[in-house]
Amino acid sequence: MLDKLVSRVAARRHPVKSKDKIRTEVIAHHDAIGYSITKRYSRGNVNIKRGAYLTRDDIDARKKR
Amino acid sequence: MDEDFRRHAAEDIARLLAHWRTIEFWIKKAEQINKQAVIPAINELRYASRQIFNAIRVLEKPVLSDGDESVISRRIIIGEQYLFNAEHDICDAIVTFYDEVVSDLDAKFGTTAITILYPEYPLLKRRIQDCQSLISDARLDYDKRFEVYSALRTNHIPHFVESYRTLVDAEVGAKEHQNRLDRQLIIAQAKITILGWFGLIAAIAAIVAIPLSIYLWTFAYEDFCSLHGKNAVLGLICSSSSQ
Repeated sequence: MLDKLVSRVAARRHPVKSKDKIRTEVIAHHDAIGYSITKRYSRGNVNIKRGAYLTRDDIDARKKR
Repeated sequence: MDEDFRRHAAEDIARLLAHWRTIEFWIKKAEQINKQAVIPAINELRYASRQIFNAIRVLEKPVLSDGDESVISRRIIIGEQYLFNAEHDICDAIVTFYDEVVSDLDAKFGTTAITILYPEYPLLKRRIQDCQSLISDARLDYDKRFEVYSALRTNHIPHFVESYRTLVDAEVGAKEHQNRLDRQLIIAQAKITILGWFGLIAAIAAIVAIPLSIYLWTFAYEDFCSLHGKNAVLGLICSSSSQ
């Protein structure tokens, strides 16, 4: 009984992450690693080093605005 | 002389454009691993394009002055350098990316946990080390650079592209397992806490119950004596002791 009760409370407080959500988190973490490499290898372009460069998403967002 | 220069410059530009297309192909391959990491290579390719475009623009003039010829030669040299930078950046970025991902995996889950899910993981680590040795060798001997990066591109990068999906699957599996263990740990901790509270409440109840029962016993003794007399109490005690 205690086992069921505790499991139910734990499930509510710490919901199980789906495989897709974990995959999204892993890819986002890899993107962050890739971004740190970009900053390291970019020659001279200060804006890229500061992360102040445009991406296609930014342009789409501007168009929508 | 002018025609000779034009012919040589056109050949150089054609060679650079072929090189440009090759690098673009490898950037597309590397993007299958990580789009962020290849941004420096894309930038170098952009700078090279600008140089090649300017060289072509000056070359199209009907008459070329000495200054024009010098500009074209310079643009070709700088453009080629940018193309080499782009070529090197692809390999460097992918190898560094893999190195960081693998270090991160080892620190979080350990080599054994990943190897269970991805049996070729130790071989992948070995390949990364080989690539790093090749890159450092290229720094030592400049003339070797072309061969080294060509070998990296043809022998190692395709393997990295192929194994990326498997590596991500292994990381997802390891993380899922880790989450399951964390959850079990939380449940176990919660059970221990609840049982601890029950124990504490029972201990407090026992501590209170003993003096309370002693205190209440005196009242019960007096009530019994008043009802049955003191002798009855002594008789009760004697009969219980003889039994």
